[in-house]
Amino acid sequence: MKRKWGLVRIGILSFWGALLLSIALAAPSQAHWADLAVANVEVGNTTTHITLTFPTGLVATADDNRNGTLSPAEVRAHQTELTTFLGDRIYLTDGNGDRGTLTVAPSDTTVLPPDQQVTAGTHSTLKLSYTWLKPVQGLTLHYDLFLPGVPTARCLTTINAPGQTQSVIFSPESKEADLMQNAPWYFAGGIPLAIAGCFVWGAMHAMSPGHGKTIVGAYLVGAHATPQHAVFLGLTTTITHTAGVFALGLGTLFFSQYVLPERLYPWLSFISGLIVVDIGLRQLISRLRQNRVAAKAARSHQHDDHSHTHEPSEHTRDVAHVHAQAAPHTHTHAEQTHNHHDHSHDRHNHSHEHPQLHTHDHGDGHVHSHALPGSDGAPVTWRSLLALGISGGMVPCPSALVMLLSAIALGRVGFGLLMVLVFSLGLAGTLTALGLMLVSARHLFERLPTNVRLARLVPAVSALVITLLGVGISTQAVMQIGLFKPFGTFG
Amino acid sequence: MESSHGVGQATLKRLRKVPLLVLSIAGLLLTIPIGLKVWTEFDRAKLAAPYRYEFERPSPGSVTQKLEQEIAFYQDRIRRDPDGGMNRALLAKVYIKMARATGETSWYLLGEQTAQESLVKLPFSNDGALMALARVATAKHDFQEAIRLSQKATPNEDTLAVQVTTNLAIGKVKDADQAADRLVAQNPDLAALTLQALVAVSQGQEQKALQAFQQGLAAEEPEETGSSVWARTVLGRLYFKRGQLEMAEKLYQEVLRVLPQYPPAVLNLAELEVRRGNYRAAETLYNKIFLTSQRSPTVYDHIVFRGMARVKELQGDPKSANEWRDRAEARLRLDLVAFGHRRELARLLLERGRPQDLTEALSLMEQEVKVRRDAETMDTLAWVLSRMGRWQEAQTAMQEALRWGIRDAALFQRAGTIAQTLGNTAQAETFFKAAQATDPTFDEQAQKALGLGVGLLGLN
Repeated sequence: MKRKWGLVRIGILSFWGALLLSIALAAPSQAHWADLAVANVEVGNTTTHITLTFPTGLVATADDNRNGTLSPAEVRAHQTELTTFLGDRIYLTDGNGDRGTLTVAPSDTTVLPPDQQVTAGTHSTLKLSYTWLKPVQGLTLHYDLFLPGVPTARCLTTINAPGQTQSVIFSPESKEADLMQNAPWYFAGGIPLAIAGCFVWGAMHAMSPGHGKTIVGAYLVGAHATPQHAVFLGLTTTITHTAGVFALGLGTLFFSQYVLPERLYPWLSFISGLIVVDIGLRQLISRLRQNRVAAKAARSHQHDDHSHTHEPSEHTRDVAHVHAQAAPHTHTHAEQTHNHHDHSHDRHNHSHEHPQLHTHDHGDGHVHSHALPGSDGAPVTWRSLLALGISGGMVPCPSALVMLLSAIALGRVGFGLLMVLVFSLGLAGTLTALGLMLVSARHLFERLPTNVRLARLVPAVSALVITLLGVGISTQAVMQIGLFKPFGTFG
Repeated sequence: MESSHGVGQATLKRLRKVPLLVLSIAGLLLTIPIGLKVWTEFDRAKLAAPYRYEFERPSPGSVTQKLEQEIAFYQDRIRRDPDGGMNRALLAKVYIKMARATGETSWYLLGEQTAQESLVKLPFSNDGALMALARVATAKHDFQEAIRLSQKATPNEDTLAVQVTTNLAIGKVKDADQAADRLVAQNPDLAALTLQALVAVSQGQEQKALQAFQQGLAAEEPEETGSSVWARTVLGRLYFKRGQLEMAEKLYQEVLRVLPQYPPAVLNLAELEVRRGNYRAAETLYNKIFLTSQRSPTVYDHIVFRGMARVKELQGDPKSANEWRDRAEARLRLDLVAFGHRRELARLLLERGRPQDLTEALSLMEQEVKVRRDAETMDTLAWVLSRMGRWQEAQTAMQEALRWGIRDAALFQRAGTIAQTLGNTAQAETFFKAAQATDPTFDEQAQKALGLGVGLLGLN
């Protein structure tokens, strides 16, 4: 039971952590003192008492003298309607779903002299007692006493059960919680719901800004990627992200006396940005070269000892190219340029097809992939995909880190790790789906006439975008680190 | 077949490269924290030794966790002794500590409810409950009520501390001074000495203030994290007000090293960034406050809204600035009665600069000065009056603001402007010189950050 409670606590904490950290730019709450309520719950065997201080405006009709505070006389005079009103909004059910019988009484504090009632005039305090005929197990508290039209109204509640004290905040979004002896709070549905929630959260979180979506998008569109590449990229991001959260979480714990985790983020961003710049630059250089070559080849030129046919229209996966002679020539594969001077194509014409993915060995141990040579001759390489995936997942989401640290703080390391993994899978699901969509969409572009000059420029432009994004990420990180301050500052 | 063999070999080759990559990343992840540790220590070395927090800083969340443990402890004792009042008073005190640690207003309400229950159970000699109510009243800016409640309790360190704070707020600086001296005589701890320093600042006795801060920090104990961060925050703001931005920044950073989410330090750091013209950095800091305050409303929300409005305006986005001001205004209006935010609302209306708001701003300030007359409040009144062209009355208000000798460049600047308008050129010149002497870097950019910080010149 304790274990279950611990797991559920992690779920609750994670939920809050996620909420806190994932909506950085969300509109802040607008609740104010007059909307706030507080309650103290004393859990007993057959009777549970709630001392509730709430905005009197919620029961304005019972405030006969309109002084903003319910007096004992007013409570007695409106006993029935108060009981009905409050019983509909705040009730406790036992494990069988039976509601406790509610009685409402004025609080003892009304006997205090007015000068000791600081909130008099805005709030009233009542004692609510819920009674069952026999001892109960598995209590659930339902709280729905909020001012209408105030979505951010809150009720801070402390719950005291034997040997256990907890505080919880009810809100219009969180009106219900299970209260059990020795296992006070958990949301209905328990662990499976927590895991499912984590997956959905991760998936939704991936839609928020960041996570290298733009870079990945630019890469997949610019390069001739396949669905497998998109999946590989998604998986790499997941694995790196999960590993990053684990490493950072453990690092944070280990170095918590010395380093604030938030100071690590800019450094990781910086490294991530550098990787992206590297990828972008390599692609850019490679594609510019190929554009040049393609432009020449388009004229169907003839060299002294061998000819290449590089009609732009043949720059598809079905392209057949002819090596008429064994002269040294260059293949450029996006990330690396290698010379074929160490292996030969002995005076043979070979015409090979390039299905979606294949590698071939030239017999010298030099395996190279002709994964989808594109019209620009810049195929997607696994190395670049790996680097891109790592750069995308390298900076762990603070939300995931909070989730892990909350779990560790509660001693539920295993469950925390599982939740981080599920979160990352959700994240990867979205990223992969986006990647697949982009890859599918790219085929639409392929159907366009490829001899259009603009179409040849697309890969180079995408590489340039990647490079600029990388520069942007790195610069922002450097500024966050504080190594560089913008001009115009003083002090 | 040959093709699948090739694929297998290729995959193997790629996999061989993976450990190297993983090792490099792991190495980086380990090297960065160590590097940062060195960096942090190097950075901290620039902070004068007495201002450094030399104890082990609390692990993340441990401050509130400890308070939660205290709450559980007293709740358990209340269960064992349901008719007792003493444990409820102590519990109320912990709730108020929680309110101060988190800034969440709900804890004040819970503290009040519990203190009242305590007084029902123990109507006499219940100083703890009375002082808990006095603390709630202070938080709500009901200073007269706070003084009255504290006077009903037997004089002790708690009552003296409340008296220092409340007397400062209502402009009775001499009474605050006496209370602070008695407090320090009774228990010269960091909290008491910080209060004494604040009283000294309000009288322009900076050396005495610095001495009190240093003495307090020298007497610092590891168990008083709240006082440790508060003292450094207000000391940082004192340096900020003197134009020593580097020192202020170091102190705020030291606070955030101890308590990474401490709202006053985050807000003051944002104020500092606005003054430096680093609006993006300020915005990031305000967003950091939102991250931690989504759970429940806090007493700092309106400052954050105003700060965001200022930043947006300075970034050339008047539409967003207005939206943030609307939020701040809505919040301040709703809390006007409960938390006495009349002064803040008046300042917001003045910042908006709409002529039609001036009458309301004046009305608010006329109400406010009935209960609060610290330097900042009187300065705000002078601001309203001068905007309305009532320069003579503005001068009277400024004179009251400066009567205890407080040294603040912004106040001197306003006093100078008022004197100049009234034709007292020599006096105006004296004020402008005093402003420059107080803060040699006080310029147009510095004025853009006015009123965004927390602490030092009275409660926000």
